[in-house]
Amino acid sequence: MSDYAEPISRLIEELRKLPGIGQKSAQRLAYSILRRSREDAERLSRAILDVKEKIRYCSRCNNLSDQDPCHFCVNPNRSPETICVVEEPNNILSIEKTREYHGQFHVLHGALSPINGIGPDELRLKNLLARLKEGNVKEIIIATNPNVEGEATAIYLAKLIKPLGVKVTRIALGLPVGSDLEFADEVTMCRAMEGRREL
Amino acid sequence: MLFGRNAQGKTNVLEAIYILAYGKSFRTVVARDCIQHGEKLCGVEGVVEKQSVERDLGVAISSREKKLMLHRKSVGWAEFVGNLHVAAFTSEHLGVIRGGPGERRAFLDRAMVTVCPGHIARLAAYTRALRQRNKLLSFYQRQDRRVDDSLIEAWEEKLIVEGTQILRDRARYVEALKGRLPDKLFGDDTLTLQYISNAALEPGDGEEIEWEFRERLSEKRTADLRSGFTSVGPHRDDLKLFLNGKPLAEFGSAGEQRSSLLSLYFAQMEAHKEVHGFYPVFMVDDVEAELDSERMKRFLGHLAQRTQVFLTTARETSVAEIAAGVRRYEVRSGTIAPAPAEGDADLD
Repeated sequence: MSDYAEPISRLIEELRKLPGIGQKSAQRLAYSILRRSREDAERLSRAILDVKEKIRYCSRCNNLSDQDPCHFCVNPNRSPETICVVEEPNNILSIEKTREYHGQFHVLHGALSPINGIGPDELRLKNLLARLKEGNVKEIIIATNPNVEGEATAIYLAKLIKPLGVKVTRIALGLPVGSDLEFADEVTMCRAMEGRREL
Repeated sequence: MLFGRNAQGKTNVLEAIYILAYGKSFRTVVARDCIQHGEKLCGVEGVVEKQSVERDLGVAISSREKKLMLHRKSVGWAEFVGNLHVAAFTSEHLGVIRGGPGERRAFLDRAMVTVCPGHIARLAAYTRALRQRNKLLSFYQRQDRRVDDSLIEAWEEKLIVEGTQILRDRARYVEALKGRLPDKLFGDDTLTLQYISNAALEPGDGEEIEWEFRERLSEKRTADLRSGFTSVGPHRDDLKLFLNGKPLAEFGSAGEQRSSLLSLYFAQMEAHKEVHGFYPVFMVDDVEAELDSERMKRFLGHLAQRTQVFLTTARETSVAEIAAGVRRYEVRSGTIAPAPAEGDADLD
């Protein structure tokens, strides 16, 4: 690193810590920042600080938001009767893209994984149970990932929530729409067969 | 047939064919170990003809990565495997009979790759859930915490879903093998197979297995919490082999064990044929070591009419005794040269 002036190498080192950024990308980004105006640099650093200062977890649903409760939780057009449970905040975006779901969300911030030391205490479950006790919720849709950990988390949640008298559903697993059957792997195809519906 | 003195590279040829079929060696699980000492990479290329369709297969292994090629284009494992089906018979495979249950499970799982798609993926998911449950058990073992039964059950549910199907498929496959064991191919001995599972004593249909597996897991939970290990499930299953009613591993002679293993391979190839409509390519390393000539003659005579067979031997002369019309190649210091077929002169 001694080939660079100290401030440049410090910037490159910081950029390199970000995911997906290697030595070369970090260099390119650093030089690009150097070439830009002072205002650009200030906007960038302000934006970085703003996320850190203004973004909080919503106290109801644990989504990342600049207001508490977040805009999903306070939106009067969204039904309080269903809550869709997801692993990460960015999963909400995938579901929102459909424009078909008009209920609430709940973010666990992870999935059960004893290997990684993640048990129920490490997931954000307490406020979910508190929301259920309010009595408005009729259905919980579990939309954790379709891998071993996501499935186990879904089963655990169902065991936890069903005794409270709330309907628990799991999103369907199967073939991607618009693709071709010939590209489906065996396991997905198997799941799709299991989840078939009468026409 | 490949002949030549020891350490000339005969087994290497079989290994190369095997790598083309499965992307890995039968000799080692570490891909790097296939590379010659002092070299940086190795590669195998071959053309497979199946029902008059030719396919270009290739595998390139360096110390850092492995590339699978189909028609000279890099492809994933799923697309690569299945273009060439091979059954290999080497002395290492005797572990199926003499070794532990793990080697027999591995034999079944390997054989099932081609006839039971999805088996490998289910095994991977099962193993992952098993590791998670074991980790959870050992967590409770170390920490004095109240055991959350529904948390353990969440992992058990995953084990049950995947495990039930693994168990049922393996038991079905063993049934398929049973029905295809050669009749009198190796004398009057009768080989019988039995798939043993502690999760389901008599594996019936899926629902029964599921019910029994769930019962046993919860019965053993307290004991498992003490040991920090999951004691029930298809990861503990075994395939028992009996010759004339007696356990083969303990009572069978070396010769009987070899011919029994060959019978298993025979059944495996028949089961493969049933599904795919053709037999896999068969390879035997060091023929004399494996069988006396009488048994080998019958076996190869049977196979030669059905599929392509590769043999290696150190004793060139013994081949004529085994089968007529064999194409012979001599392997010497790593090069292969066609040798005139024995008895050709007589035929012409």
